[in-house]
Amino acid sequence: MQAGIIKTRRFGPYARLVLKAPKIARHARPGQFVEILISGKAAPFWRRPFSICRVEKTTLELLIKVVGPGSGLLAGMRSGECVDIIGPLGRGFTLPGRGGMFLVGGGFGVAPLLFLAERLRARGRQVEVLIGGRSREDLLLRSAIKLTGATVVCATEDGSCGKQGKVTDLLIERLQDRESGWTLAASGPYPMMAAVAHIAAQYKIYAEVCMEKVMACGLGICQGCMVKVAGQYQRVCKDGPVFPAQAVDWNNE
Amino acid sequence: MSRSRPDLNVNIGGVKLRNPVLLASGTCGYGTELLEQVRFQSIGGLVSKSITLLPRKGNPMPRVAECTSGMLNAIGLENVGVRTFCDAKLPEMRKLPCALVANVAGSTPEEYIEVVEELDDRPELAGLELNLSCPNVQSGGMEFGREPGLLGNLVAAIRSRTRLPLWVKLTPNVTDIGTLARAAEDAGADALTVMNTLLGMRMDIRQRRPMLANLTGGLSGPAIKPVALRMVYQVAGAVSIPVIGVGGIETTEDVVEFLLAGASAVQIGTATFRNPGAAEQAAQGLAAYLRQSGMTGINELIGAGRK
Repeated sequence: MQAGIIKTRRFGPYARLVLKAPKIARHARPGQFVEILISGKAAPFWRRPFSICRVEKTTLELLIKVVGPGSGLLAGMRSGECVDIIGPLGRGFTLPGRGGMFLVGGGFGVAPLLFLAERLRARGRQVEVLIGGRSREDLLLRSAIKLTGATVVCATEDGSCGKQGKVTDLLIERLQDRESGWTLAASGPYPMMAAVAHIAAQYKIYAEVCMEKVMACGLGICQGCMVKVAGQYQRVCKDGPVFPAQAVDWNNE
Repeated sequence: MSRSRPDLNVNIGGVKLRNPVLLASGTCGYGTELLEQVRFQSIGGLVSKSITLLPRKGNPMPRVAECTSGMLNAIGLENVGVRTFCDAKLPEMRKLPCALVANVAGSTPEEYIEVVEELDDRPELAGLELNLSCPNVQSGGMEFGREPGLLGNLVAAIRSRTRLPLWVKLTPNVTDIGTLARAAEDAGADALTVMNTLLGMRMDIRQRRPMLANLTGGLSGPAIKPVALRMVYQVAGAVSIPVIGVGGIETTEDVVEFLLAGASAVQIGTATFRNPGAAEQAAQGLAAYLRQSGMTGINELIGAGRK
């Protein structure tokens, strides 16, 4: 289907796009994604997957990181233009438990966590979002997440914002004095999520991760985006992208 | 000029289709994955992904790479195996309102035969397509499709063991596809699917190694369309059984080109990834093309471009 762009904002290598897509907005769950056909021409040939970052009645918001020609074209689009979009796709976060939830985001991976924080807050749940990145510019969506009523804590590797170090160090600190009933969700670079899974196992806290893979179809057909989960290959696009962290075979990459 | 709807019905070696547009093997899963995306009542049929005797895990990752006007895949025949296909998939697929063709692959002639025998009595199936052309597995596929003697023996052995119409899918990775096409026809194939993917490769310039774990993969998408069209033309001239064209087809215009070259039906493959509605749109467009050209049926188009 076609969705009109109603708002864009470009900042550094990133862009935020707001699209009018009532049907997708109505059905979307945090962790799900959309597939956008950027050119329909020779290149970029495939659709590109983007996490749904936020939903408001009839609109959805996407966070784009410019990494190549495809994302570059999309980030450069203006309001009034249309994109060919399919979604919502995949399985999102299950919103496990009833207690508070730690959301751990690394860099661009923070995109689905804004949507998740909003939904959790709407249910009156306590949310603490831990965001990490190399430097201050890599800490995305901080103010939008704060507006949901979630607590936001940051870590940067160069110390330019929040605690100096890794977001996983923050997580360990926060897990020391957590109340019971808390669960965890993570989205970010692979090594970060692997570390989060390891920490979650140590501290015996249930965790879900939102995986990312290059996708050819995004529809569960081509079997090109597999990850080893619970001993077998599963499709990130259809069986995921959200998986229980303990079930993912982190060594098999 | 007749204002009645043009006749799109075709009979492909005993498989009756309401229109000549099918979804190609490996690009529509077991069909049910696409329930929300495809109107199956608007297409002729679908060909399942390749079914082997035992479940297969497929190749290591990465398995796909994007190219200009196409993609490479080296999935490696990952599938649920014929038992689960019959018990769990076919009962679901039965609900899809179009012709169902099962694609069969194997590592040995015996494996092909066992799978075919398992599928033979399934009322859901309109036909079988033999994958003698998978470029991505060590054995089971392309080597049977490259040597006319091996191909003929295998097709003949399978032919005698099933009542179902038998399509044979040929590989383009050969010197003379005409010889192989004739070998399949002589051995009793009811139709030929032309063609499977072209062997290709991509390098990752950052890591300085092939992008695919399998090193090579099959190239598909619009990049291969001219090659597929040439091969369809060549095969249609070499045999008298129907030819099903596949390779880079995305639009109505592409479909018309293949029919003109001598294909009696076509399969839409990789195009479904970019546009899941591609097959139904091509079928609708084909009816419009026939109407505008003053043709009453698809038969007026098939082979009409041959010289």
